[in-house]
Parts: sequence; structure tokens; C-alpha cells
Amino acid sequence: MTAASAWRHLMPVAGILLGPGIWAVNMELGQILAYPECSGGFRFSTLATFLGAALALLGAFLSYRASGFRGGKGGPSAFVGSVCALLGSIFAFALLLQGGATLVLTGCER
Amino acid sequence: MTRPPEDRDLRDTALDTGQEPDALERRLARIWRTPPGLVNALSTVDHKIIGRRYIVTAFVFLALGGVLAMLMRLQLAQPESRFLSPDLYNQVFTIHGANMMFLFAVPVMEAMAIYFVPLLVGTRNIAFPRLGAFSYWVYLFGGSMLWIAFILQMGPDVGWFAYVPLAGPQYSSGKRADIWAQMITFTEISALAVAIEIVVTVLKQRAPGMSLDRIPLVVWAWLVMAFMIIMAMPAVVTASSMLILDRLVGTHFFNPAEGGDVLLWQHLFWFFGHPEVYIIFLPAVGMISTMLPAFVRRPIFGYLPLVMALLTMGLLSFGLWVHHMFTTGLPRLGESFFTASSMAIAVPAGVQIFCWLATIWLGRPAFRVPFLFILAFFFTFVLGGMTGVMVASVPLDTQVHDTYFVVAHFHYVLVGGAVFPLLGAIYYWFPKITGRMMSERIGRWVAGLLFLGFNFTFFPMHILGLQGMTRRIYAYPAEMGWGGMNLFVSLCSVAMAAGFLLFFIDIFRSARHGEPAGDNPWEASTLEWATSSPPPPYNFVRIPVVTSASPLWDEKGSLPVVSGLAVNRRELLITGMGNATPEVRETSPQNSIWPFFAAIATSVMLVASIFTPWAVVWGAIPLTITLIGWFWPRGTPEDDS
Repeated sequence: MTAASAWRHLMPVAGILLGPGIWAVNMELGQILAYPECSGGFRFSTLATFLGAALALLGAFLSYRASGFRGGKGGPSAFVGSVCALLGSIFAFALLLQGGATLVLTGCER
Repeated sequence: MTRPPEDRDLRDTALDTGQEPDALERRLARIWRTPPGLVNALSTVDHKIIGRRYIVTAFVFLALGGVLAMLMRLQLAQPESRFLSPDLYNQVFTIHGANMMFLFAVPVMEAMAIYFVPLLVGTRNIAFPRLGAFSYWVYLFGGSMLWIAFILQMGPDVGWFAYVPLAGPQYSSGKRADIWAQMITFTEISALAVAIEIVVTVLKQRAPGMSLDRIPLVVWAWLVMAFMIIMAMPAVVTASSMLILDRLVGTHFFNPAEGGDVLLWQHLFWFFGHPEVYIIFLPAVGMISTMLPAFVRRPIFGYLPLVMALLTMGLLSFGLWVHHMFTTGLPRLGESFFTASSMAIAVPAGVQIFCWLATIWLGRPAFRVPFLFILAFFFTFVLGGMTGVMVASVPLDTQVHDTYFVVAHFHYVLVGGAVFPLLGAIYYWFPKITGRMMSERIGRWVAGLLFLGFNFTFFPMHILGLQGMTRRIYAYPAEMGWGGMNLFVSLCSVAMAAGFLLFFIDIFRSARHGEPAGDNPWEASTLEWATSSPPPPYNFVRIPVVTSASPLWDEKGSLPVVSGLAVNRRELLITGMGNATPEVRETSPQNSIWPFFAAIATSVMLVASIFTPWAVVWGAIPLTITLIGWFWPRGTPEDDS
């Protein structure tokens, strides 16, 4: 499989790979980073969460592009692209909500 | 003896001579049928027979769990009641919860999948059908073990989630907690087996032309459910195995004094436990999406967002588990991430609701019994969803944690979100299973009694919870002021019980004396209605070819079909995952008694390992023998091909 064909296969599912993948990692970071962030220093959780939201949106956009939605392309690959675009957007929304939490909590609250 | 070449590869086209009009049907029936007799009944791998047994068994467990619920309501009907002893009450609420979650809710959703997935995707049997037979027997033996233990006064008494250290060796002597843990192993083995069957059937055995955007929504829901089972169940199997090791071998996974961690139990349990809610809920919403078009006479509105909602909820459900642990002292920052995910899951859930409302708005609703259950679902589930958003919030959850508010919330979600759609689905698909209609008149009484009985039973529990009535409480003093409302709840639960009783009466009556249904009594659009009611052992005389998402509506005449499949052996068609283009003809296994023997060997090993760890070692020998028998080639046409 060439790089171009791999890219062509991955594009429609970028939304379901990037959004949930980053969200899952960020869930774990939320458990781990509370302890170091409580003792002060850089708020890595805020950066990670908003960066993750941006990447999830990028994944959703790539899926949207691959779906050929504007060109009226049909069939299973367009369907998969459209589903993944919507799905990636919701995971971006979940990450943005988590980002909001990092702005109001310090990590010290129990 | 060598068979002649024409008999080695006899195709359906060879029987199209026109001399005997039903030659193909007779030939297929001979190949696919389950002959009469006890051994054949134990050996069958017909997904419809196994699915039917699964559904009946699950409803028996529902009825038994319901009896326990009524016992609890009798106990709580008045203050200071001594109807049940504290010990018995502990067993009753534990077995009620464990039974309803592990022996009814998850298995019944899988059971419906076993019966209907092959029919809905247009194939002749489920993938790995012997695994399905094995799964059913393991489920039956595991469920029986729990109830026999209860009858012998050895029933688990540690709650349906068996928190340590209460369930650990320090605080639970005897074998009660071990029986809970091993019941988990039984049900998880059977659930995983069915999940694998569903995944392979949906991805590789769809009728030609049933591309990803034409799969019935309930099949999408079962596919997501199956993947969720595969990802979630290992966590609880690991946890229950670790608990048994702590109790039997003396390990210290959950013993903080020796470096263990009690919170590890909660993490492992709820990593499974929260997705389990969606494992139950998603098939139910899939059923709604598939039934609704038949009653509003138009295709579903928003097929694409509905598929997106199923996938999104399936994935997001794996990031909610800590909202069951908000009072355990974890950092608030971490908890807030789970709050965020719990709020976010309301988006796909809301998308579904709006798609269904749009479908009804644009259609011409016919208020038949399944549709009444759909309406009951809307009202009840939306209420349960709203209290779900409330308890996903840390401050509110901290106040109502372990109170009757939570009891009310999860019954609204599970009964409203899953049981109402399931009952609607039974009324909808009963004609396909039995060839007879259920009673419309009795069905309306059932829907009315259950809807009113349920809401009057469980809504007041929100208020009792806010007044401070805790979960699992076996008696309360009169001074608390909860007596009046508890009496009201208990009286209303009788209406709910009457609804279920009437439902079971209708099932028995209709199975014998119901109106003949015909092939497609609801004039629905999906493939299961393209075959006779009940379906023949081979499901379809010829595998249909699908040209749209509503094949029976869009193909006005008869469906286009595939020809050329072998009829001298059990054969089905394997198709591609995306477009469902035909790839290869594949055989399907014949009936076999070995899955039954393997299930017996597995059950003996699991029950014995409650008492000695050596049972795993010695139990592996008969289990291996049964597996060798299972896979041993027998020179059948299926093996030869």
C-alpha cells in the first residue's frame, strides 16, 4: 500500500480515529495531571485539552472533505466520511467542555 | 464412499427445472432443519431456536427478578417492617439487581440479536452457530447457579456491584460473594461469544447490496453493542477473577494493608458497568428506529445522524465510569472531565429524539401497541435522561449519592429506555417468531398499566431520595416520615406487576390462539418480513439482493435474489464489509452435541473453582476433550468443502 492510498483510506475515518483517540488520552491525563498541577506550575491540562479539541476538529474536517458531501458523492465511503465528521465534532465538543473545566479548577479540589 | 460430482456441488439452479415447484424448499429444509428428539434439540445450531430459548429464558429471569422487587416493596410498604429479615433482604436486593442486569437485560438484547440479525441482514444462519449454542447453555447454567444458591440460602448479599472490601475475604465469609463473582464469569463468557457472532454476521454475511448506508438501524445498534461487549466485559471478568483470587488463593489485589487498592475494584467494575447501561440501551433505541417507520408509513428521518448517534454514544460511554465514583475522593479536576463527557453524551441522545420526532411529524402515525410503547419510551426516557444530567454534576451527585433518587433515575433509564422499547419489539416481532399476532386489546392494557404503574412507582422515589431515604435500606423508623409515600409506591408497583402478568398471559394465549399473522402484518420495509412467519429453517429460499435502505417498500414486486448457492450442504454467502459485494460461498456448521458438553464441562469447572483453585487445572481436561470433539472433522459435506 502506498502512502497516497493509505492516506485515501484513512481520510474518511479521521474523525473517528482522532476525536475519540485524543479524548480517551485526555481522560487519563485529567486523572494524572491534577496532582502535579495542584502544586503549581504550567497548566498542561488546559493546553492538552484545547489542542486535543483542535485536532479532533481537524479529524472531523478531514472526514468531511473525504465524504465529498458538497459534491453530492454517494455510497458507503461518503456515508462513512459524513458519520465520522459528525462524530469527530461531538468529541471536539466534549473536549471543549473539559477544557472549560481546566479553566475553573486548579487540580487541588477534592 | 465417493459421492457423484453432481451431488458434491448441487446448486439451487439445478432444481429450477419447473417439474417440482417446491423441490428447492424441500431440499433446503432437509439440509437446514433440526430433526425431532431430545439429542437433536440439545444439538441444534439454528439461530432461531437458540434465540427463542434465549428470549424465553431471559423473560423467565425477568419474572423471577420482578417477584423479588415485589418482595422488597412489601417490606418497605410500612415503617419498621419485619416481613423480610435483614439478611434475606440483602440477598433479595443483590439478586434482584444482578439478575436484572446480568441475566435479563444484557442477555435479552443479545437474544433478540441472535434471532433477528441473520433475518435482518438476509443470511441463512448466524456466524459460528455452535458458539451460539455453547453460549446459551453457559448462560442457562450460570443463571441457574445463582438462583439455586439463593434457594439454598447462599445467595450473594453484597449488592449487584459487590464493592470491596465488603465483598472481600475480610467482611464476607462463606461462598456468597464467590457465587456472585462466578455468575459474572458465566454471563460474560456467554455474552462475549454472542458478541463475536454478531460482529462477524453483520460485517461479513450481509445480503449483497446491503452496503453500510443500507443496514437496518437496529442492526447498527447490535453491531455497536457487540463491540462494546468485547471492549467492556473483559474489565469485569478481570475484576471478578481478582476477587475470587483474593478470596480463594489469598492474593491481595483489593487489600490496602498489603499494597492492594479498593478503588481499583470500582474502576474496573464501572469501566464495564457504565458501558453496560448503553449495551442495554443502544439495541433498544435501534429497535425504536426500526419499528417507527412501520407505524408512521415513511422512512426514518435522519438515518445518517442516527448511525452517528449510536457510534458516538457507544464510544463516549467508555468515558463516563467515574461519575459513579464522585464521592470517593478523587481530584475534582479529573471528575470534571467525566462530568463533561456525561453532558456531551446528551447531544447524540438528543439528536436521536429529534430524528424520531421528525419522523413522526412527517408521517401518518398508527397508534398500534408497539407505537404506544415507543411513546411511553419517549416520555420516560427523557425524564430519566434529565435526571442523568443532574447526577452527572458533582455537587448534586454528592447530595443524592446512594439515595432513592439514584434508584429512581436508573429505573427510568433502564425500564423507560430499554424495557418499554423491548416490550414494543416483542409485540412487533412476535408475529414473525410465532406466525401469530398478539392481542391489540390486551396490549393496550399492558402498555397503559406499565406506563402508569411505572411512573407512579418510580417518580415518588425521586422525592424520597431528596428526603434522604438511602438505597438498600431494609427498614426505616416511622419518625422519618417516609411511610406514606412508600406505601403509595408499593401500591402502584402492584399495577406494574399486573401489567407484566397480563403481558405474559397475552404471550401464552397468542402463541396458541392468536390471529394468523401472514408474512408481513405491519407492512414493514426490512428483510425479515420478506420470508414466511415463522421463518423456515433456512430463512430465505434464495438470498435477497438489497437495492435500498427500505427494500420491501422500494422493490414493489418481488426482491431480486442470488442464485447458485449449493443445496447439498449448509452454505451461505460471504460479502464485503463496505459495499456487501459477494466474495465467497462458505459453509455453515451442522448441528452438534459438543457445544452442550463443552458448556457442561465449563460450568462444572467454574462452579468447582468456587471451592478449590485446583478445579481450574483438573477441569481443563474434560473441557479440552469436549473442544476436541467439537472441532473434530466428521467428513460431512460442510467439512469436505
